[in-house]
Amino acid sequence: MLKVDIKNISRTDQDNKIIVLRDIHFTIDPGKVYLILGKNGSGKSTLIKSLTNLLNKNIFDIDGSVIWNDENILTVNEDKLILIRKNEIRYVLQDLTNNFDPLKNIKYYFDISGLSEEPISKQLKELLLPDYKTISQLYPYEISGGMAQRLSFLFAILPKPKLIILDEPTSAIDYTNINLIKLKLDEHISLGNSALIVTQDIQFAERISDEIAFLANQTLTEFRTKESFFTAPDPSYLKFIKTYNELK
Amino acid sequence: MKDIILKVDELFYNAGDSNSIEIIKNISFDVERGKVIGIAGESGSGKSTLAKLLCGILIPTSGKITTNISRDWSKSKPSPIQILFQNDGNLINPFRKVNDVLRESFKLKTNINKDFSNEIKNIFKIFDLKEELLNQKGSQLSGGEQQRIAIARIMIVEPEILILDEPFSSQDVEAQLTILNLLKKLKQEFNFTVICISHDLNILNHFADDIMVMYSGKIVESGNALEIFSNPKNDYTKFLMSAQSLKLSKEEIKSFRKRYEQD
Repeated sequence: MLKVDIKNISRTDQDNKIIVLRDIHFTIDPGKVYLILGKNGSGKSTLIKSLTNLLNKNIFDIDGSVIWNDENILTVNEDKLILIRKNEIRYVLQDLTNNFDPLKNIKYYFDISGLSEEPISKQLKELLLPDYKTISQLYPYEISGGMAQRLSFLFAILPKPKLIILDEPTSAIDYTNINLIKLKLDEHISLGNSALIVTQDIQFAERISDEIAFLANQTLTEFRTKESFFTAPDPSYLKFIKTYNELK
Repeated sequence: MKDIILKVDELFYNAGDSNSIEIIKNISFDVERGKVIGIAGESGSGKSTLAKLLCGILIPTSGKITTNISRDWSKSKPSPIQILFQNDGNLINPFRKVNDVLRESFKLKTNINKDFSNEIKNIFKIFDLKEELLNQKGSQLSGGEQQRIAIARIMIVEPEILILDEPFSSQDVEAQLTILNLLKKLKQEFNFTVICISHDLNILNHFADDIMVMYSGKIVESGNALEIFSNPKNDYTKFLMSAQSLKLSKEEIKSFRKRYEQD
């Protein structure tokens, strides 16, 4: 479904070219949850943004290919790229309240989804959010972090994307809301769609993923089944797992 | 008799246009000197509001907070109760050097204007910080470094009560363990009382002597941490623990929400 072969991603800072990530190779198949674990600052967000060319082109340079339905996302034309991002590969990024335009109420986002009130209402109810009429009138500053997270998630899955990419979905919310998102994600995956999640939350990784890889020292280990990831850890993340077990 | 450092009686706090939204609803508790109290609960349960009331940033609508501070703080500008806010990446002024930030703390504490370089070096040793950091600005520090400098800034004041608002959130496990061990070490060195807010029960289990569980502005269960973790009595506490295991069904979440919202 998605095949990533990136030789390197480099960043130019004041005429210095620095390699941020190298040798990133993986494939995403339908119906599975892929998870990338890594410490703060390991480059997780940079990696997922590179997949649909979301990185700032003036600073970042990607050498490689990201094949989606036989086409290289990194070289398709802008119109095609927008369609892919709109309908096929959707993101929930970090810093959620700031992802909404502060001058537009939530109704604006319902309208641009092109869907009628009924399917949206159904989803709102399942994520235990206020009803369509109430939430439509709210502005971004009036919603809590937990609500923003569930709403962003809802907007991401409304067009039923083949691939959903989540950046640290558990960082700003409590476990009840994480449970709700997990349930909704399970449902989305059961329809044959896939998810790619980056996080530093091992507990979440353990519960939600089918396959896990670890990002460290600028590169990504190969994806392994959850069981083998934890029972036979690679030296590159042994300490990380040990610390987690200590804190559990 | 117990040595009580902080006593909270029938605390209420309302917010909103006409003080119409009750955020803290009749909370009372005592904190023993030298203990670590953990406050757990979902977002929106009133944890951070309670923290702000305790350190005097917010004024209660009604009720009383009494402290029994042991040293004379009358001549000191900083308060004996200090709070570490949630780290949103702006804990340390992005334009100021670490050295100046710490020096200001010493100045406030002592009312003396000098460079305090020996004292700052000493603090750096305790915190196991690299000396290069001294000349870096807030914006050049990583999240974990910012947090350690922010704790150092507080420790210089030698508070008697330290309030921590989600000190472990948005960090990877290694950074969490570093902060946890640092706080334990500081606690031995400076012997203060801690009130630690966290939605992560696992971490509180490693740090707190007593736990209070909050829901919708009330304390629903409190007591010895070990007892609560091994044998939670309140249904909401049980719910919170099972939520952490991420095994709840939609029906379970719904029914708990409903039940508690009717109370």
